[in-house]
Amino acid sequence: MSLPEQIVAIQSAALDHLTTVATTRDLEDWRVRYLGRKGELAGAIAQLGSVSSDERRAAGQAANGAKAALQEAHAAKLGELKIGAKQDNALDVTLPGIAPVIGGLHLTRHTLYEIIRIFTGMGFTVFETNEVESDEYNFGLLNLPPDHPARDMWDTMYVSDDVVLRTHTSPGQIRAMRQFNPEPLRVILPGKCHRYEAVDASHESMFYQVEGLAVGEGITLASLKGVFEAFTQQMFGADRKVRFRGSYFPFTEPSVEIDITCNCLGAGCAVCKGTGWLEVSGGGMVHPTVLRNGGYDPDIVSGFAFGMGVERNAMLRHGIDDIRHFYTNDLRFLKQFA
Amino acid sequence: MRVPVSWLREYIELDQPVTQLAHLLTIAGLEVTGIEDTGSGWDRVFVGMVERIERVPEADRLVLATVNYGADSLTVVTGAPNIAEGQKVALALEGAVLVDAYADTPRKRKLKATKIKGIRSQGMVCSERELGLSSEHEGILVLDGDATVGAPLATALGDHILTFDLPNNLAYANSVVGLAREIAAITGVVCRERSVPILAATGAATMATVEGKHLAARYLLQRLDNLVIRPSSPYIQQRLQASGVRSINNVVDATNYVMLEYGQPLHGFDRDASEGDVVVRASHTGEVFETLDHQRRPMPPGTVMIADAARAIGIGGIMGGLNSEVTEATTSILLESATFDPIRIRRSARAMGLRTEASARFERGMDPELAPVALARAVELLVQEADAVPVGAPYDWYPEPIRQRAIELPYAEVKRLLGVEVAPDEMECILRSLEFDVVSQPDRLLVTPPSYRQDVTLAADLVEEIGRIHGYDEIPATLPSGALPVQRSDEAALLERRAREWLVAAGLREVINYDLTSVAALEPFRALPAGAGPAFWQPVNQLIKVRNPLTTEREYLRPSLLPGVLQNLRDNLRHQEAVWLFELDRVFVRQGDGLPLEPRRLAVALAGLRRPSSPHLADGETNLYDLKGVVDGLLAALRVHTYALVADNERPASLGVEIGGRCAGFASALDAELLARLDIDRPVVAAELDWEIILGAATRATTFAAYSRYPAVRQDVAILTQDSVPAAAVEQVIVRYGGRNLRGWRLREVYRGAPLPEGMKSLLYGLEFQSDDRTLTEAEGTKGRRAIERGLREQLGAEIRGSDQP
Ligand SMILES: [Zn+2]
Repeated sequence: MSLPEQIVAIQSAALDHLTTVATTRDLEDWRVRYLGRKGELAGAIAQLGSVSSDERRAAGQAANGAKAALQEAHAAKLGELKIGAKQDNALDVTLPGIAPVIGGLHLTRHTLYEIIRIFTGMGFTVFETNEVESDEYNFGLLNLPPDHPARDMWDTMYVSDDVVLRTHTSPGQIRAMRQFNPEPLRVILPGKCHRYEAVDASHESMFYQVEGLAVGEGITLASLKGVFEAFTQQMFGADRKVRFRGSYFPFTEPSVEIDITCNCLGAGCAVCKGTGWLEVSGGGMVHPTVLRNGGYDPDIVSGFAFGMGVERNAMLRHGIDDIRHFYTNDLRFLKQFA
Repeated sequence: MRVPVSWLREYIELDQPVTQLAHLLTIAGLEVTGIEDTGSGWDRVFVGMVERIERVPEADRLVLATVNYGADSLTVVTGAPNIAEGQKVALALEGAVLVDAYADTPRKRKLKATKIKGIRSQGMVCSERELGLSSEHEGILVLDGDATVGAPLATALGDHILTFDLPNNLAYANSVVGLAREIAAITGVVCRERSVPILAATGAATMATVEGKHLAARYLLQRLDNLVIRPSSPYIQQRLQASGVRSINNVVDATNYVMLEYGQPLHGFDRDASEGDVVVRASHTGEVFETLDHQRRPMPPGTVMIADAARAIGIGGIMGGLNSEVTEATTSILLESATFDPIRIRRSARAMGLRTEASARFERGMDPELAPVALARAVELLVQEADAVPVGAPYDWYPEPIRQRAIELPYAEVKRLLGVEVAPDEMECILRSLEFDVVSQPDRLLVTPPSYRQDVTLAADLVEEIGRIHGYDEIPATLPSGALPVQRSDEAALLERRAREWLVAAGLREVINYDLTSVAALEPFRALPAGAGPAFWQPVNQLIKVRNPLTTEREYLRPSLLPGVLQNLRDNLRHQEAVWLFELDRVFVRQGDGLPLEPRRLAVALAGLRRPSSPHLADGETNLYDLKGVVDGLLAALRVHTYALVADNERPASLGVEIGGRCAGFASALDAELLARLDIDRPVVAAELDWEIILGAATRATTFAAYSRYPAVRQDVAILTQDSVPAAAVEQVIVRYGGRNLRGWRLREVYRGAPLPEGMKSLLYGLEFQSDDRTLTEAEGTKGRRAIERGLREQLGAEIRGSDQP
């Protein structure tokens, strides 16, 4: 076969072949095979030098014609394939993606970690203590001697005469003070607490509390307000305010209830019963007797303490109306938050 | 405590709206939890006067009453047994909305004119129930004689009732007078003190013997004769009713009235019940006593008994006896006003399970100086209400009159604790308004609280009084000043958090369960691996039991996390296709007589699909390898370098987790029997690990290791071996024979079944050879692979598949 004939044969073989090409990838292979630098057409052109001048001219023309024809066919095919791709129903992009599997922290933990994050940012250290406590630490050293009528404020589960399931995280105050006195102290005490209490939408027999304690010179009730306001604004929003109300706890003097602006920002709603305020915590200045029991001199140093329920924080943040959701561990509940 | 505002007004001028008053009190620590407006629904109800009563023919129980209501008179037919001419009554006209007294469920109805026995009834005289005041419907409500005829009922009887939730230390404010004093201090208005008639000062007979001041700090007794027992005046009945106390008769009502008014519980004994002097003594061993409520009760040791020479007639400070109850027939009483020992009252009331309004007040501590005042007020009322005649002066036993100690309050103390400057003048003014006695000195105040403020003993207590009256709203919000305390990082808490976050990233969800559980919930776990590791199950006698559990489901402190997590797993499998859970928290282990140990554990339980079903992937059921991957990955992530997951030779599909050679727990496919007992019908894999061991073995940070910059040579080796040869054995050979260029290997495929012979499996390993200082040739890789193949043949008798490859 003469060279021009060969070139025509390559051209017709390539065009035949092109009819079977169905993907852009095959088309690229086709281009490399026929039109590439080392392709069949290039191979034929390379032989131009070794043929007679007549044949060379005819072959040159044939080669130019073939190249143009194949390039045109290639462009047409490429366009065809791209349009085809758009109409390809094989890839339904509306099908769901493959979701990575990620678990989640329990809502209480998530909230607790958030609270801890805020207070550690203000220089507080986490300090954890026993859940099963002696009566002495749970009550006695907190200015609640046996037969004190205020013991009724805590319905207590007893393990024995002098061992209880802690009713609050406050025994940790004494333990922290005894460990660190006479240094100034800023700790938060998170943990589970237990009450002998009938369970309903707003009461649980087990709950998490976070207690805060700051002891040192110059600690005042105003510092408690400042720290709690900083916490509130990070936890609930920069537009929230803090209000103190008079109260009574045997281990603080003065004692206050701490209210924060409700989600309705004071307009009054069902959650705050129209008052515009939500009670979130109780606290005050550490009672001189408690400071002394912790090994500090109440004439020189002072301290503030506050305690709050973690679940209540979460309930207010997420609009949860029943505390019993928390420890049922139903994933239909837990999955909503993390 | 419920307090009618109208009663407070007897003691103090109140100008502000009731909601503002409630707010002021709440901020000062006297929380108002409710405001009830009693007159708000009484449209078209007026004060009427009964002018005439006539019988209704042929109806024994009905009368026709003509009632004047100022503008006019009208006639009503009523069956009220207590209606009488001259009474002031609540007259409802047509259109008034009243409580339907005959409905089973609370309902209101609009009054219409009706005909009864052919007689037109144009309105209605109302009972307390119809007005929504109480459930009383025996007769109609009779108003006080002072009520203005024709006035809307709301002006005569309408009121606001405040409900208070007073903290424990404000017991002194738990009365009308106590609240009035607080309001006076808060609003700066002066309180009107009632002048109580002084009782006779002489002529007191010895009427009682008190065994000692350990029973009562003060004991007063007044004899009253000539009593006529009858219902109290309407104003007393209405105030009691508004305060939530049922009216009984004039004598009982008078003592209750004074208790609400002054806070002092009083008790009247029928004088005929006792012979000779009253004896106040501690209970005898085995003494049984029948209280007013017809209960025969054993008396706890040390109970204060009121008795005569022969028998007890009351339990001091808690409840009177049935044998000395004031009845219709009573004509003479001994009226007691005492200050019983708070701790004794508290112990007895708790031991008996009998906590009364009186005992609640006594156990918080009463003021002995109040006892004679309250007694005099009660005598005054009984003279008015029951025609009582006091006989002689009251007997008053008060061996050691209390003396209030002066407290020093340096001015600087207020700022030191509150963080706000209060002028000394204002401090003094506040304390005086609270009836404290104040002497001012250059740098301090000397403050003596009134006798009813025995709760105030320290400077800090005075600071609280100043703070709450000055107003907590005035306290600024400042951040603590001074040097920052050293912030300590808690490694244990950090590691716990890292573990939780890793598990969450691995697709597990955290649960938090109750610490308390039941024997029934623990029992199925008896068969959990015990061995040398932590005890996951303990016999009942080793568990820590709560004495007063709320339910038997929460009675014992848990020795293991797994029972709780598996219960969560079962519950969630009912509505979830994939349930991967973990809990990282404390368990409780008895430790001699001391507080229990509270070691932490990590429990993991997985079941259901490996991941939620997807159209793109084949569903896969969670299996032991998922669990192994979680445990393996977590321990590696926590950089526990000394762990091993070893086959448990005693149970199938189970791994022991060893850390530093110690057993730290297990990871298993749970056996079918356990699952059946737990009512779970799908395969479950679960692990429980001793977190304390993990904590001890975890290391803080990894040291960076340089990696080779040269390409690796990868080759595969496929072997055919006995099914019984564990993969771990194959890997040991690979490591031993691989030479120094072997960098890694990975098991890529395990195959059993046709066309392989029975009892055989094929394993495909990917091998990676690499050098730190040069590019290895393919031939060097082949050499390494050949060495491994030789080792596998020699050591395990394995057949190398496709060994024809170069
Ligand atoms: Zn609100």
